[in-house]
Amino acid sequence: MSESTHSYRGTEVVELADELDPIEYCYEQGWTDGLPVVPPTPERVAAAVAATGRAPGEVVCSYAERAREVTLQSVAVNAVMAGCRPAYTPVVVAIVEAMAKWRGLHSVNATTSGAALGFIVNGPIRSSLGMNSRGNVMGPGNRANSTIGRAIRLIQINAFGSIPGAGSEADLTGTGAPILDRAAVGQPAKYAGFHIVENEEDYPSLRPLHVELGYAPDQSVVTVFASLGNVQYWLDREATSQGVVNSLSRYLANSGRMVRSGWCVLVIPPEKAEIFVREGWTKADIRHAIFQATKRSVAWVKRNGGTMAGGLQEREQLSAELSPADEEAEAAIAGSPDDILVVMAGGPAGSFVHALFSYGSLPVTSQEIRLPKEDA
Amino acid sequence: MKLLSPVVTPEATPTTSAPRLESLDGKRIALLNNRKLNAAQLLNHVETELRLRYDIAEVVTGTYPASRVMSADDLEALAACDAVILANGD
Repeated sequence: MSESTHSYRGTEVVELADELDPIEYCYEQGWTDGLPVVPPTPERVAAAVAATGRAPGEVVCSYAERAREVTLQSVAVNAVMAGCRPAYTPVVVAIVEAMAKWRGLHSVNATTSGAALGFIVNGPIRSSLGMNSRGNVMGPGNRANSTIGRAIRLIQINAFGSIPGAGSEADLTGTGAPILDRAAVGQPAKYAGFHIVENEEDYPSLRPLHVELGYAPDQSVVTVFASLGNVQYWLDREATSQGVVNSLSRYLANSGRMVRSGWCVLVIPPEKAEIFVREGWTKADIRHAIFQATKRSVAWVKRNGGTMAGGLQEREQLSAELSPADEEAEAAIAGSPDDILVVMAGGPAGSFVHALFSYGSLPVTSQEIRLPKEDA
Repeated sequence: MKLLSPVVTPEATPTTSAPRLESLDGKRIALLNNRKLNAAQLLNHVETELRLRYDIAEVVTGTYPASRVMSADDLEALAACDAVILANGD
């Protein structure tokens, strides 16, 4: 294995004295998320870069608001620290590339709302990396699911500069670096993201998300979003597709997450997914049915004490007094049926549907995962 | 043991401030809020105070994207203004 000691913009090489513990050293530098990291040795980083087949100095994200140019090597260093195997690095790079072209890049790095990044993985890379799309898909246990998500948080801290603070002043890292993540509460998903991997194999009648978005089935794709949180709804009495839609929509309409723009991700595990498949529903059918069943007037939202969760202008509209125009204006759980992303994933035990809600009116964005030619 | 730092340092481009106006009399002033409710209210007070103190030709009100660098089109729209005041509220 070759050793990369060349420093590309921001990936300075440091030499530790023999008596220093590298894990403790990483803590002392403020490089961690509070959990121990894998020391980013030149050998490990070189292997991670090599797995992308790309040049280490390639800029994969120009972050104008913080005047930072993030190179592929910087991404690789953070992926190593998160515990990624080298083969995971192209996925981490693709997520960063998606963030680079997304208008939510600075918002998700600077907000006090605690919004966390989420990503949905589709395509052949899921199986080649051994990613988990079944039980605990969004939970712990699978190395690729967990460490890819954690790599993004470390990149947010170290490359994008979102050093987390405790309240307005206290520096959690103890390094004196400027605190640029002043989330009021934060959320657990800020450790490893909302990592979602679609189960494409068990539902051949349903088009995977990336195919719905215009990609070919054999392309590997990440779809990236920022979410304020998620709720799991228990639907154990609903035995028909329409019954699931009706109950779920009632919950969603009262979730406090009604919007005029923005999206919603619905993760549907097997017990409910199989009902839709058995009755011949497509994902488009599900999207349209949920959109129609959650549609309410803005007046209804106001009368029921709800909040509009979308963009700032929507919140301004809600804060105004009830007006005749509110009877005509419509809100729903997403801006349109196409903004409801339906993903089949999860384990067989449990009659649930899992919903993730948008952060403001930021869109979702997708990015193909570039692999070295021999792996593509 | 050698380690590679994961930190990306900012590469800020040096800039200089625009020349200060000697007076706001007869000037066109843009008051832009960050699309949050209290910033708009704050700027309403700012406009009232400015008009008490200066003979301002025109006030242009609007918003700016607090979470993105302003685009060339955004800046072009402000080119006719002599001064711009940005307010952040929540």
